[in-house]
Amino acid sequence: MRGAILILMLLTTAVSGSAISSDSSISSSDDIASIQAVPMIIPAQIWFNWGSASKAVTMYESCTQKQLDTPEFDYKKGRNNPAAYVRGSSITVKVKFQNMNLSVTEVKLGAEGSFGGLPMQTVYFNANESRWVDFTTKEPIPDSINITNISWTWYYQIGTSDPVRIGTSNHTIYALNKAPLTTKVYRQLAEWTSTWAAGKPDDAKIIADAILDGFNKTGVIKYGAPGWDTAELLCSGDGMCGGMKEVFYDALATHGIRVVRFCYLLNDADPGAQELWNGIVIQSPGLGREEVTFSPRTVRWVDTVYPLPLYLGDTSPSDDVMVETKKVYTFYQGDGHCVNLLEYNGSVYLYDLSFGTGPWSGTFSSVPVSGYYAGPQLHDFRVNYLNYAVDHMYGKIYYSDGSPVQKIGIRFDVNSSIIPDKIGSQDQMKYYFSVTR
Amino acid sequence: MVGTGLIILIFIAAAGYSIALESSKESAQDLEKVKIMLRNEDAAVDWVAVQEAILSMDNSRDADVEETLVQVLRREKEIKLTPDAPLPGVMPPLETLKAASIITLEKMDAKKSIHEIERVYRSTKYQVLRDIALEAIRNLNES
Repeated sequence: MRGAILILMLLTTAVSGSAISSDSSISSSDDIASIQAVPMIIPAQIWFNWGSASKAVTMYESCTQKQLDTPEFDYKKGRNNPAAYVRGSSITVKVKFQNMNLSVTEVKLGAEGSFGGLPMQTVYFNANESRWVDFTTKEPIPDSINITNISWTWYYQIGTSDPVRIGTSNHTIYALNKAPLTTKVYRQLAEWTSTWAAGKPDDAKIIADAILDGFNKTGVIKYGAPGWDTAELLCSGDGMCGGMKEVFYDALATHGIRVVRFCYLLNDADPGAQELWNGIVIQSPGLGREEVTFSPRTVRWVDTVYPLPLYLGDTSPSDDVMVETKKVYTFYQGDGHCVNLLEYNGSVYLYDLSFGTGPWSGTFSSVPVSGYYAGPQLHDFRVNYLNYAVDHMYGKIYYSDGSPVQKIGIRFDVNSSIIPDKIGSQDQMKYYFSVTR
Repeated sequence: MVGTGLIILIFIAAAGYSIALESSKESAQDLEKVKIMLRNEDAAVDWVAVQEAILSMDNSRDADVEETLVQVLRREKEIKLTPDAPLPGVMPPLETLKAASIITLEKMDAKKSIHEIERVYRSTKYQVLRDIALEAIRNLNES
């Protein structure tokens, strides 16, 4: 009777707790009655990431910065964490069994199901718990990026009696493209990217495109609020470009693909009275946003005439300046914007996760080195990306008020595409490139 | 004729003095903006104004300016932003101000502060700040 209650409790817990589900063959009252006479043995813990030899990839939670708890499957604790492997890997798990009947000391255990199941082998009990027992799947996991929900139906056999089904454990396996490059693989990134890049070939650009597309379509993270590194950004779901470029780097590195982290920081190109420039201006709302998150400011759009636009005051309708109060992103001197670069088949492709754009081609013939760049050195970068992404430049420039004397002192927002590389000997833009491979 | 020339010279000198006085007043105000932020670490800060102030002090040779910028490098507590303040894109506000301070110290040729810049280089997790610090260290060592 005591055994029956235990079995019933275990099966009830299994169904409600979902850590291990009862198999249909043992869910009926007839079957419960039929197994009351035999010892109840369950796989209490299933450990996927038990060390480097396991080939499992260690994953971290973004908010706690801690490794995912292992053993991944723990019946008593109701825990069932996912595990990650490089695609095509074999899985060897360590399993600890719990035995309710102390009179049984030797039993064969195994599982049927995913990846050919886990071959039956003899397990010994000195107490109600076994040692860790290694099981290797008969087949490797599929040789493609994906997320597989697997199930193993466990059974045991005592002596020559018929095998008895215990129940089914369900697990989630992430299949990554290649061994990760990053020191911390975040669970969220492994999950999202394995979904978005599922079935894609081992091709860095195809996978990068799929991941950018995934971020765009799902809105799992948003641009325009505090968040400057991957963990912070994944935990809060928000971030600025410094964090976005880290997320994109880590998302690709999770699949063994390296992209460059590239920031361009605004410098004043003019040592004189003008500011070329004081800020970069972006009107796009950003990844996952309907509108710009910054407070509105007065903008003085100069879209047709540069240099020396005509400005007759904020209310004048007959000059070259259109004034309005608008929410725009403005990043000031010393600050700037960050993106990622992918070297692929001899070309460089730029991905801007903050605004969900890319791949932009033709920006650089090769990945630049860190340092200052100005004027014509920026030409390809500007015409093939920057003038679209950073639509206006904010700064003090000479303007005309209709009198013969040039004026200065007011900051305008000048359309990037009408600013030449150089006027005379004066470079019109200057950036510091921070490049991290 | 000589008298007229003298008057013009005096006028130019006075104008120059007035500009210098105005410039000195602005510099003092800029320095004060940074000091206020350092004095009360819990106060909300218009970090854009502070950054602008820091970058504008690059011609200074004042020991007080150098010491103040070093204090910015030493600050650990995150900056609390004023409600309508925009966010920096590349790094958090404190790191952005540290980067501005390093750039200004480099322009000031502040060799005495090189060990503080090295400390930032070693301790920060932000690669951009490391890059800026490294560039400053190299340039200060070479100058």
